[in-house]
Amino acid sequence: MRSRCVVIMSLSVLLLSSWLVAGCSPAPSAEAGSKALVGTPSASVRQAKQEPARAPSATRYYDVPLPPATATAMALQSPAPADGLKLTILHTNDSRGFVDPCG
Amino acid sequence: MPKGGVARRATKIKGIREQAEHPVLLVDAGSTLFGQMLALQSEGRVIIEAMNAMGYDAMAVGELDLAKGVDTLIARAGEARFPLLSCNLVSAQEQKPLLKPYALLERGGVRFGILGVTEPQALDAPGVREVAQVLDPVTSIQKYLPEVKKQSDVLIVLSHLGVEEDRALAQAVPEIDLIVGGRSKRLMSVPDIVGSTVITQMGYDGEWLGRLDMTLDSQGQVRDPQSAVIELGPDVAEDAELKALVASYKERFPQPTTEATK
Repeated sequence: MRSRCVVIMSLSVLLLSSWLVAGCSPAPSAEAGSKALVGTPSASVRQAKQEPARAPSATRYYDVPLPPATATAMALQSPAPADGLKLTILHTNDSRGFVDPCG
Repeated sequence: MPKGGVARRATKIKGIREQAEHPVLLVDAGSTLFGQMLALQSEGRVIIEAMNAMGYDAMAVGELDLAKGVDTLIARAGEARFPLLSCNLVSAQEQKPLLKPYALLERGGVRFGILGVTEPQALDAPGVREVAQVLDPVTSIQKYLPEVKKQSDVLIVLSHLGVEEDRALAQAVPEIDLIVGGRSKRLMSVPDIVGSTVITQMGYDGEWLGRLDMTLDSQGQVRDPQSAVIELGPDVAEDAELKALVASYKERFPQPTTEATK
């Protein structure tokens, strides 16, 4: 009788251990990841650490939504630009949070 | 007379876009989110909303963009409809980029590769050095160069390194077609040319809008760059949408008056 009890208890311990190892540590969810991005500085670093190693690219490191203009899905092969094509680049820098006229 | 303001800037941008029959890009070289009171009070939200409304295509991260820490910057990047870029601002421990290192976009049949690069002084903001690191700009750009180059016709670097550093960068990485810079607060009515790289930047505090017109040849090489300084003076009408946006933020975040600060 005593040895049957020991066997049953041992099996229970074994089952509990297996569950703890296999099922008790859920994979981080997307929601948890997005919360970490706006958490403490250390939280954002932890989030970066949890991500699996991937080839560097413009789009895959962070869950920041891409703007429509960031055409990362564009065809890799595209014809050369037409000779003599005009371009305009409008640019700013060091606006330092100014929204109103100043100076 | 006071110059600048996002409402005047928006008017000019809209006008140029409406008149242009060719691709127009709108970019910012950084140190943009923080500094002025309303921007600080709103933790940079007013700036991101204004830039969303103006249709910015990309922005580099500079020193002042980290003034409220890494988490605030990443949160604002999540609200922006354009990428905030830095290829050399990385996490301190694993040295992974904290933001997108580059963006690819296509406009009018031209593929643009845009890299952002941040100055080392960006680490001086409170709490930033503990979680972030700024890697060598040249090495970082060279790391991403092959994959960006093969997917783009025109390679642009948005740099907050300073104009002397931009010149050195152009010498070290001659594949760069254009460097839109910041930090030196130079008003460059004539762009610098180093090798075949065009270098420009446009003042400070949002008082001017820079315009660079150029022609591309069939190899994607930039030809005949012409720079223009657009002063945002009182003669420029204020865009109603941007004016209302700023007013709404002022209601939410009352500005301290002289009496209140006594």
